[in-house]
Amino acid sequence: MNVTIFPAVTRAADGLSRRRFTVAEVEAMCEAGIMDEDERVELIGGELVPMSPKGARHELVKVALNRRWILAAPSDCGVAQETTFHLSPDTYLEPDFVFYPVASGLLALSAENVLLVVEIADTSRRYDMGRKAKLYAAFGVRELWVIDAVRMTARVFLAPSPGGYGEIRDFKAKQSFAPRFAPQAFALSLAELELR
Amino acid sequence: MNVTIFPAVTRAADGLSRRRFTVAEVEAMCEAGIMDEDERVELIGGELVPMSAKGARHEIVKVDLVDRWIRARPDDCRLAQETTFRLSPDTYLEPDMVIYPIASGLLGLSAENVLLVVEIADTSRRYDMGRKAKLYAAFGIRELWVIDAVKLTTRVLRSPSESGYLDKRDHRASDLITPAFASELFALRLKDLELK
Repeated sequence: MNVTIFPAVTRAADGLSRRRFTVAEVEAMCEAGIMDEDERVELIGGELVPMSPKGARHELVKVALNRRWILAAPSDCGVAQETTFHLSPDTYLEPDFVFYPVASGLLALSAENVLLVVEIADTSRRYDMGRKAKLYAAFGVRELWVIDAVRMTARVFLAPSPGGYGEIRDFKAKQSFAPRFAPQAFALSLAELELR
Repeated sequence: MNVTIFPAVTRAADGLSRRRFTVAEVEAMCEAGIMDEDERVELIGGELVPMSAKGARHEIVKVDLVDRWIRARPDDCRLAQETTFRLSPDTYLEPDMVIYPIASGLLGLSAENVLLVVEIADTSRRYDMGRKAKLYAAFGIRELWVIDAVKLTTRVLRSPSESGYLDKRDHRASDLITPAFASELFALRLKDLELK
């Protein structure tokens, strides 16, 4: 059998101005069946950027964190996994975790009211700590954690500005760190996670 | 009244891998009303690239040239204006003019059988002579004319290769240019155009 897999990604028009898509247009593409709703893409400034595949370490850490945080969650704080986080009419991201006040609800999730965003990085480490962190900062997301699933380290970003985060701290596996805006119940050290 | 015009173009994801769209997907977007069928875009290697606005000079040269060439009445080839020229499953361009054999017909238009492609450039001169010419060459288009509508000069490009055209000749407005593959009735001196 001769199966041609059409390449899913391109950089053919690098350096040229490209058509900007809105979140509404992408949603319409899913409705019309042009894009699969499960296609793992983010919309960054009007451009569809496929997400890198999740490695085994990414998934191990995700499962452990999910269990840890759901069991610890106080009733006034919601935890959502890989939700579509609409940041502007032409940008949505799919962070691994977002924490938000139950009072405002998941449907009202915004850059202003989100308490904490967590990205788990393995192969995507450089991107998550660099360009993606800048994007969260530009939208004013108050606190971002990027957890390196391979080295078991965490980088905490605070004080967002249009040019990036003003306060950046690194934590080793045995060091514990706590969120500044989300409940203290979510504080942890990565060494305590049971990865299995 | 406060009208927000949503920016139509973006380079937000420059340097990142972006989702590749197929010609079929773009056609489906038009059918679903997500994109306007009249939206002036080209699909280059899976990316939608809006075309630059056509200046007044562009239009004056276009109208005159079309008038002249339609009146030339060759019996074995036809001229199509601003037609969607499908070059591969992820690329279509909209050249100002294509000349093709009647025998294969417009619906059978391909990189192999097209006789001549003409791009009229004003603001888009650098792009048309550079990157776009390379694209036509890579698809094996045998002859391309890029007419500079401002300076009234023509660059004739022949002998396509993967890396560009090997044979490039520049002509002044007073030079007689004769196509190598299309009918000699299309031979042209730009200074003969009335341009009004």
